[in-house]
Amino acid sequence: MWQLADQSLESRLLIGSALYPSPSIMQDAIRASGAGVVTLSLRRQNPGAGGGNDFWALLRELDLHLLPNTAGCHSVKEAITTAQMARELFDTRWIKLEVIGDEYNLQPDPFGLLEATRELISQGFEVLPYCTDDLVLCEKLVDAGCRILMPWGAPIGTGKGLINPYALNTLRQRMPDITLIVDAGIGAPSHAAQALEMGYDGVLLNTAVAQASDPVAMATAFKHAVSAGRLAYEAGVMPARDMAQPSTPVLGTPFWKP
Amino acid sequence: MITVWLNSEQKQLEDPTCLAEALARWQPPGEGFAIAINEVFVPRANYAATQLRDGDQIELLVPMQGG
Repeated sequence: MWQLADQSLESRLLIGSALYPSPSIMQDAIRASGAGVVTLSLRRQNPGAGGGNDFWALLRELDLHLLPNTAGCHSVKEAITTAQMARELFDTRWIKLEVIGDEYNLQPDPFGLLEATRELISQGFEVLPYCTDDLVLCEKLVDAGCRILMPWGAPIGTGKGLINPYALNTLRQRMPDITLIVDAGIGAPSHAAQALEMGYDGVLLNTAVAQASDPVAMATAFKHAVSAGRLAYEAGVMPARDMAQPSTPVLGTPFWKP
Repeated sequence: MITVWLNSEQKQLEDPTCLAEALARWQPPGEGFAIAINEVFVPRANYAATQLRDGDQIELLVPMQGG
């Protein structure tokens, strides 16, 4: 078990609810992932886009912790209002805070994110900011009161994995007491394992499972990868070195000549 | 009469009309929605006390899939 804010969770995988081929596959995949937290959003009612009461009923059947997001918000005001609406609708003070600064790569706006974070924390929210891996930004988010940070591995939906392991590793080393979750960019189970091996507390992903040929099987693969990565971290991954070192004993080497 | 916009769709209402009355007429889906007017969140407890004004932009949001 581990602690995410005020909740004890078994799995270190957090999963999204979007982009699945069908609602039933969404349900099956989320169950197979073993995730204890699922992300969701708010939108205008649109019969062609799913969502609404039917989606809400399916998600409630899963009985998971809800993490609403402010996806699509480009201003501090939009993000704050969306968070307030989510708090009432989903009856949770958790918010995955997204303030997008660039439309091309959906990169978070660090300045807007920090401003919205300060305001929402003052209103009693548990803010889980979707942020870049910039150390100074992350330090300021912690100063603002964040207990959890969610730096990107790569831009949303790219599946490129951890494109800047140095920066992510620096965050882990410099913030040993902050819950760190890699959010976005995870494409393969090996990426998730890499984040956990690095000491990250969890990963949040959606597209890699939902858009797999077999989302339920992929969800299972991620479940195992996250467990393996965490186990490896706890076991202690050996340090890399430049020089070869034989693993077979040198003593008693056959045909040895002095 | 006043004109308001519900999710960008034009609506005519008698003046005065409160938000609770307008919602009773529009019949949104069950309890599963939240409201903002002119980008300001309106808590459910305030629906009856919120008078709509000409030109109000009402945002009615429902649960949706998200990552």
